[in-house]
Amino acid sequence: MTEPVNLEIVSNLSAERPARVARPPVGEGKFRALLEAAPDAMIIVACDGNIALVNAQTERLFGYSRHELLGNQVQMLMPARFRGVHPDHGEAYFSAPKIEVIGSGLDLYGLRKDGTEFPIEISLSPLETDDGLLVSAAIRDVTARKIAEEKMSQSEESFRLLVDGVKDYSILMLDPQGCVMSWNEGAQRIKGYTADEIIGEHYDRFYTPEAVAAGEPARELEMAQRNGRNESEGWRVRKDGSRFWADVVVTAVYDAKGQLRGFSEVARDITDRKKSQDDVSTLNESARKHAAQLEVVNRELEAFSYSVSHDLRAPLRSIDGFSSALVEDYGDKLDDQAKSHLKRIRAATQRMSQLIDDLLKLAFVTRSEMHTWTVDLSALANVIIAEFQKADPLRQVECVVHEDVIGRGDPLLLRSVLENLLGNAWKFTSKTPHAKIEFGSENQNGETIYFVRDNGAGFDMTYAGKLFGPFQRLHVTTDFPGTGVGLATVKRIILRHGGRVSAEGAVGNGATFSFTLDSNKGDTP
Amino acid sequence: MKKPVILLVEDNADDEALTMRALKKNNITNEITVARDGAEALDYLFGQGANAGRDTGMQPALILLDLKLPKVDGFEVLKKIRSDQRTKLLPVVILTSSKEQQDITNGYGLGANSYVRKPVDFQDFVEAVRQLGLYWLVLNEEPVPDSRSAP
Repeated sequence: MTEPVNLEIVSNLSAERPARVARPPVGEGKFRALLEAAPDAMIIVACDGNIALVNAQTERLFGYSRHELLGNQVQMLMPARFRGVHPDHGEAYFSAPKIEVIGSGLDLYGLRKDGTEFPIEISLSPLETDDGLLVSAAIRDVTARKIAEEKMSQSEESFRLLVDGVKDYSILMLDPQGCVMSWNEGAQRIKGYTADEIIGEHYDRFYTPEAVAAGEPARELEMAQRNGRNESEGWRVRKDGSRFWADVVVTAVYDAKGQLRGFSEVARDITDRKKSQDDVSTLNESARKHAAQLEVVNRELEAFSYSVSHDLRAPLRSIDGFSSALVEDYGDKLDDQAKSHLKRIRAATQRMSQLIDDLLKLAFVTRSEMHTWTVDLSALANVIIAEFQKADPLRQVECVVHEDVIGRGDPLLLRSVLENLLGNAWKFTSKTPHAKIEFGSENQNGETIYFVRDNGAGFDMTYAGKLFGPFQRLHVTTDFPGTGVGLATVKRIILRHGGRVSAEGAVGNGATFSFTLDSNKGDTP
Repeated sequence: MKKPVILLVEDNADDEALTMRALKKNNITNEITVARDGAEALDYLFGQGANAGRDTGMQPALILLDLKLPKVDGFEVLKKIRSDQRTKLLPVVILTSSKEQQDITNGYGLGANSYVRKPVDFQDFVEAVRQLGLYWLVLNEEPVPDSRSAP
């Protein structure tokens, strides 16, 4: 196989240029073997463009047998559109021959015998011979690589489009030192710089001067490198100097060899969210402060009540006790006037004692814990009236308690409400010949109104506003005893239940006290 | 037989005088020992301090205990009484000004036998003392002394 090829070279070259016989740098046989062993299609071309020599790869690649190629113009292996260009290029090459790769960067194509084209890359090497300059062309089919490159560039393109198009996130690449390498639209929108302005700049300009002084930018990269990624929230600075609260994820990017290539930084402007979170926590904080203040006030009230409860009654006991001792031990030495004075002293201590107790009850209403239940107010009213009757068996009062009056609230406090209202009715009908007390409820616009009605002494509506104030009385104690705390207690309890309380009456014509309860409250768990 | 002692723990001199008067009016003739603060009460009960050497085998038949006391308050005294073998079975009646729910709950929680609020009206007070004396000194059966020294 070796000899004929060699002969062909010789014959071809000698046919064209008899005076300059090709003489490769190594022996003929070795040169041919080298040619055949090459992985690429090898074509030796004379300076006139004729093919002087080809190897088996050339035949396989282009689909010609070597007989069809030898002695013909090399242009037959190129698509027609390249042929006009090639001779010039060829001549230029022959005038300044050098080793050169063409086709990388250019899109070169080979033409097969069957007319199909395929992408190629060509390496040209000059070959000095006695017959003159030859050119050796190594031709490689780069179809597979082109396809791969095409795919890669498509995928890069779509990735690029994806990143560029993201407007809500600033997405950028940093080199290992933290300088900006890429920039997207979101970054421009959020941070205010155009790509031209920022690429190559260090990313610490996105941080506040305080953060930079504290070494935060460097620390974030360090953390990202150590942990793979670093997520943080903090103030960042726009081009115009304004600040925004950012959620930032920095991820270390490594190449296939494990070499740090840089960092990706994805950031979002969450100033609005931060602001609403801050608003909520400010609200929570102020609610917490209020609760704490209320707690303090409640505790003070409790301490006050406790002290009143213990200390205010002791002197009264002394006054009453020793007044009583005076009468008992020195009664024979005291005249009626003196005894009357002592009686008044003792009555006053009783009254004072009652005031203290009522005051404490009023304080208890404010500070006691509320437990909400469904309460059978009818049953409660009957029990309370029965107690009044028992304590005052001679009274004849017509009591009408409506059946199945139900309320929702604290059972203890609601009992106090009914005790006070029914107690007032009981008290203020004490001088009424046919005393009548009614307890019930009625529906007004979907709301339950509870009422206690009597036909007793009543009151002047002019002073209705004073009724519910503590220690306010519309009757003198000698007519009707009392401390003026009862209705104040009722009002506080009803307010604590989210309800309203009102009174209607006329002097000598009885009174009606009405109240509501906030029925939306659920049971205490 | 000598009537056992009543220990009155009371810091208010007026209340002390009135209590004495009420006891006398009810013909309760037991010897009354008065402790004017919590520390004094404990010294007496445990034979310590000013009462060092007192025979702690002899304990009061009844303790009338005020709550608001200087130095050691009534609850603390009650706690110590209930946690000592020598005194843990003694009847203790809290006799005080307040009827604050927290005081009543605490008092019973620490093992008080009764809780009585001192009435302002002296006649009511005399009646309360009469009932206390009748109940604790006459009707009530004490545990046998042996059980006091039981572990």
